[in-house]
Amino acid sequence: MLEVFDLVKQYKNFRAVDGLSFSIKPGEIVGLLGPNGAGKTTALRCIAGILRPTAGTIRINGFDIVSQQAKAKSGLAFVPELPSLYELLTVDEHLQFVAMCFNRMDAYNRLGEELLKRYHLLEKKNELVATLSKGMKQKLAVACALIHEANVLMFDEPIIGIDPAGVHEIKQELQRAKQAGCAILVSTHLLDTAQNLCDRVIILARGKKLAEGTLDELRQDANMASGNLEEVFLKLTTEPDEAPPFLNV
Amino acid sequence: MKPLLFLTYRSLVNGIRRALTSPKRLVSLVLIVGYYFWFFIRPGLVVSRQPGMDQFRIQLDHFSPAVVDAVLFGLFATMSVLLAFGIFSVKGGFKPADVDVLFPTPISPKIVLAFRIVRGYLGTLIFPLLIVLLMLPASRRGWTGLFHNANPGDSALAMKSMSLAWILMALCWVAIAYAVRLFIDRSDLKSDRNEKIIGWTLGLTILAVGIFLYFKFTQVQTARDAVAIAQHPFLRVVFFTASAATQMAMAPLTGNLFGAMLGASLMLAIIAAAIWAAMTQTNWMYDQAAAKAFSQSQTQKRVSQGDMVGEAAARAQTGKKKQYRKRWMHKVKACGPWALIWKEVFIQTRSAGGLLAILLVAGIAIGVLPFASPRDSSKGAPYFFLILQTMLVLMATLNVAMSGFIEMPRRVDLQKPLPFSPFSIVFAEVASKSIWGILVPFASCAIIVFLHPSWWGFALAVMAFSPGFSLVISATVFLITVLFPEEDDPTQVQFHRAVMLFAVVIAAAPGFGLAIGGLIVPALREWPFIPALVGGAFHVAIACILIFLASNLYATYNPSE
Repeated sequence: MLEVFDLVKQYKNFRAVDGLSFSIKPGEIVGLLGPNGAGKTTALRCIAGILRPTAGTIRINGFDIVSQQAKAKSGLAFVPELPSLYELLTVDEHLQFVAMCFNRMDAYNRLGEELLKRYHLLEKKNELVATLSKGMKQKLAVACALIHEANVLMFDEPIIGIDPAGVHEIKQELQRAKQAGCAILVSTHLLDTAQNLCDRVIILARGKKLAEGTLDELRQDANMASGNLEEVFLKLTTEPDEAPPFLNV
Repeated sequence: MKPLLFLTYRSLVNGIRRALTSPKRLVSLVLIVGYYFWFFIRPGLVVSRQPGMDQFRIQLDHFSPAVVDAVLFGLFATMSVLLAFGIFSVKGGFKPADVDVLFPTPISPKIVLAFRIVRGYLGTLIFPLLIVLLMLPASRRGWTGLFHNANPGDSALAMKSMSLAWILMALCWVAIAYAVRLFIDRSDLKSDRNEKIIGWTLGLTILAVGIFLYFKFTQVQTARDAVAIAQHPFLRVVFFTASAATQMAMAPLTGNLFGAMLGASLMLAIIAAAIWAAMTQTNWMYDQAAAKAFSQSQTQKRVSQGDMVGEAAARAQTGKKKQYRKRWMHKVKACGPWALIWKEVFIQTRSAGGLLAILLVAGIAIGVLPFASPRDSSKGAPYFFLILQTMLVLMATLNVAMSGFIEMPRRVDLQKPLPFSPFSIVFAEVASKSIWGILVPFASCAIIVFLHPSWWGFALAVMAFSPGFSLVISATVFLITVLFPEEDDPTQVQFHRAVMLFAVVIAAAPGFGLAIGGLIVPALREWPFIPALVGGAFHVAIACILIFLASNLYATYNPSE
């Protein structure tokens, strides 16, 4: 379970995340949506224990990410957007390294080969990460995130740059994880994916939460009787006197 | 700790394996190993095998320990200044891969920091240690012999204590750098202020030392006076690590065991205190590293794509972008390959403007300083000016070229599709990195001619020599960068560094030989411009050959390989 209370992240003169609160229960997929620069990646990095929150509390499976870092991180998997990997490790070594970090070599021995096979990386297992394409690297990052069997998963733009088969596999993976009782947070720009995949969504803009809920609840917030997530999102994130960016010619 | 050892070991092994799979890199590696063997290991072996070498020990009784103490202190103090400036470069310690892969794992940040410090230590010490090990057999004899009469019992220990003191001092500064960096890199407003305070303190201290040394040296009458300056309490306090290291290094010669213990203890205490200070701040480490690694990689990405607007916007977002000023360069219309040089002027002024300003000031100071001394009229002064100006060209070009060409592999996708030949692209890249290496000494020479018109010949010599010299340095750096293009590969980075200076020396030697040879000829001594022009022209020719070679490599270079 993931709980975020009043999260603030301030960079000198700039407040990237401002009072964000939400929680995700086991077996739930929540989408984190927002325009560029809304603070989505910063929020995810704070939750992952990469960035130190300026204020607020983050609990993963009941453990505080600041004061009980190791315990909190043990149950968390994070796939960053366009992940940077260790280029001079082979694919297999990379997976092994992540398993070692989480002290889960048992999971590596049991799952390692299967994950590589599932993400079409088995043939590349002895090749350097540096030789992989962008999409392959993304798949490896997903495999690394799954190797320690975390129950809180966070994906930052998980399907950007991945081929259709890979996208399909990741969507299936998310559903499998959901059924296994994982709490899942997905940050994405792809609104149709969010609509199909997520149980509810959180919309961020300028670091603040604008809305949270199911599509129906968001429609109510936007005073719309009908409309898909894209239309609701544009209504909520566009200032009254501002045209949507693609109309602003 | 085990995963981190695994990561380091595998990265190193894979990196070496990868570097050796390319024939051109293998050839370069063989050349480097051969170079180090020939110049460092072989002399030691030869000396130790020569029969009767012991009889040729230099035994200079009049060469007092005070002189050695002063020389050692000077060396240690210079080294400590260089290491102190290292404080401002530690931020590159973490990579984006650490942020994305390592930081979200439950490994304690304290372990990550401890490992990082050990790795930093090894990185700092690997070359000094190699040099000590390789040169020890040869230099130990000289050193032992030098003080054999003065202190026969302990002179053999001197080399060891010197090496140990050198290592301990380096370790002091690596630890200090980590502690200070963690203190000033936090994402709050106080950190900016703290960084400025530390930067200014360091700068003002060096300025104060410079002024102190200038006034002291103008009062020097005898060699003994010069040696006494090194004993001055002001210098001994300011360069406290150098003082401790000197105490330790000198102990075998002076017999001052207490001083040695004190020096070693002080340095060990500094190391322990600095590591403790760093460890208390580990909660901030990931935050800082993430911000730095992320912003650095993003900045590199934007620069490589030529996305100046994106870069300006990112800087504006962090409050670092000052109001935009119109520059005269915007009025210049550069077409064809010249456009590559045109855009490089912008990139360099925006990315290395501070450094170039410092070099410009240094260049002007070099022009002015000889006249502040009453001995400026001495015959050697203009030649000293020539040497300093050459050093300035070397520093300016090396700095701009090495930092600029790091981006080269990433610009390939942008530059290769341009309608220019590889030679034109490489020439433009090389020439644009030489601009400051030419302009800085030009500014200095303009001042020297204004202050001392009779030196116009020497100023003209610098202006004739520096463009070619700068071009040959820049071309060499480019060639080495294309040979070892992987900046994320530590093995290649090490090869890159090891080869760089050697390659610059080899490439610049013919031009230098011609210029120096010409200056020795009595008929040309009054016309230094002529040998300088010949040397400079030869540099240009060598640079063209290097550019031709580099452009062939550039044409076949594939960043995805």
